[in-house]
Amino acid sequence: MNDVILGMSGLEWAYLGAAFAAIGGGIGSAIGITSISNTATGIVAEDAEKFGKVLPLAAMPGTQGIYGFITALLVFIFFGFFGGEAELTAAEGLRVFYSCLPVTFLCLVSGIYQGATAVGAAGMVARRDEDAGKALIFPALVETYAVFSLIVTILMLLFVQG
Amino acid sequence: MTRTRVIYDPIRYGFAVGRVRVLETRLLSRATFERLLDAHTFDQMRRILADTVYGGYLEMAHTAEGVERGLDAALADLYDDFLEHANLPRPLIDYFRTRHDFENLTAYLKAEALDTPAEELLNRFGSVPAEAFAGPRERLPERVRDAERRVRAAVEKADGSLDPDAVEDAVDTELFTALGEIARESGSDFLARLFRLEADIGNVRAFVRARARMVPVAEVERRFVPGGSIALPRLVSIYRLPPAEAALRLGSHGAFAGVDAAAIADPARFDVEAARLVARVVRTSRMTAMGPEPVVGYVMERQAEVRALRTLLVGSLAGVPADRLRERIRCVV
Repeated sequence: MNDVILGMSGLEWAYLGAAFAAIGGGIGSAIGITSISNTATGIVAEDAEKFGKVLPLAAMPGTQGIYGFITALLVFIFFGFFGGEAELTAAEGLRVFYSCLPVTFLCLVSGIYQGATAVGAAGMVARRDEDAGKALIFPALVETYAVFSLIVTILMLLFVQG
Repeated sequence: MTRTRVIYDPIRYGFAVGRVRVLETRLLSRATFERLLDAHTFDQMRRILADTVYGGYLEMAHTAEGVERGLDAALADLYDDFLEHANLPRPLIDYFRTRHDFENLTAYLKAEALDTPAEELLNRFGSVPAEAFAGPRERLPERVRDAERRVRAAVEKADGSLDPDAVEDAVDTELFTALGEIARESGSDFLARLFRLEADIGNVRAFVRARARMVPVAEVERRFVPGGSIALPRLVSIYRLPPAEAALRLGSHGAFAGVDAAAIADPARFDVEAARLVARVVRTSRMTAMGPEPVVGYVMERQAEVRALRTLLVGSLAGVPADRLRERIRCVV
């Protein structure tokens, strides 16, 4: 296959899309988890009994990295990378790349902001144990958009595959 | 800058803010202060405090000296255990420590001017041990060393001795210059705002007290410190106005907007209003989820708490009536 777009073949575009999704989600999660973990560590340093209550908050921004990983995995599975029979035209490869963009950007941004929201929520838990349930709701709302991005990416990949 | 704060503030301040969120719950409540005010004896007060963070510090306190020692230990732990071990950027720690270094510098220079020993006047809350002031100057932080040189030059008399009356004002000028630099180094808008407010309060306090004692303009000018939002020449020109008009002018200024002009003219009432202005900033800072604000707010609240307890406990030991004590600590309660 000689067809290329901007000097890249279809497979290369698909690889790039998968890599972007994994990197974007990973960076978002890493920053988000760092934010909330710093605060959670401070809370637990003063009150070890709060560990169980802040742990779900600290874990929450980790999902964006998982979505990026799932996206990369789906690209490899849908387009036969594992079996060594991957074959994509440059146009198809570019469509795969575009399909990965919702997860790439939304998971990057939502991971960071979910961490920031979780910091505020951890402050609620630090003050009042009984608010632990309510505190989970607000960062979870940010998660909605990461989930939407994953759904859109999966649908787009399915269209390209179909 | 605002966009990157969401990433960098949790890294710089996250651990400290997490600790603050828990430590805030251990601050003395209004109800505790009310119970302390209603207590009839010092022992009752100590029993009330036994269940709080101050219990351990005041366990052995039976006299005013014991109370001072216990509360000093509480404050030292706030600096040593909290500020120094919360992974905070250095300027934020310096903002609190430096003023104690300068207090020590004042004590040291005054003691030298009056030819008395300084040891008992020094505190242990600064960034270097109090003993450093008696040793070689290299042991002092550069900022303090430079300030000392300038203060000495400013207050030295013809015979080479120091003028004890001029030391405090000269050190205050240096302190506020240093605090302004630290606030700028911190890169925090909040700290810069707080510093401006503190400088304004310091200047207006000096203004009001000088006014009450009819101090001449030339003398009051050297009591003003740099860094406030009211320009020093403007303060001097207001000082020349009749008292009522001067109070009105100061009351119309941003930081003091809404403060009763009569309170600005009365030194005792001004202190209460000033404490209220700072308390308002501290209260607002608690509402910030992440950044230096909650940390600074917490440290200032603890300092105010220790001051209030000192007033209450030492006052109670000295037989000061509860009403007077209530009036003195009104801003904290």
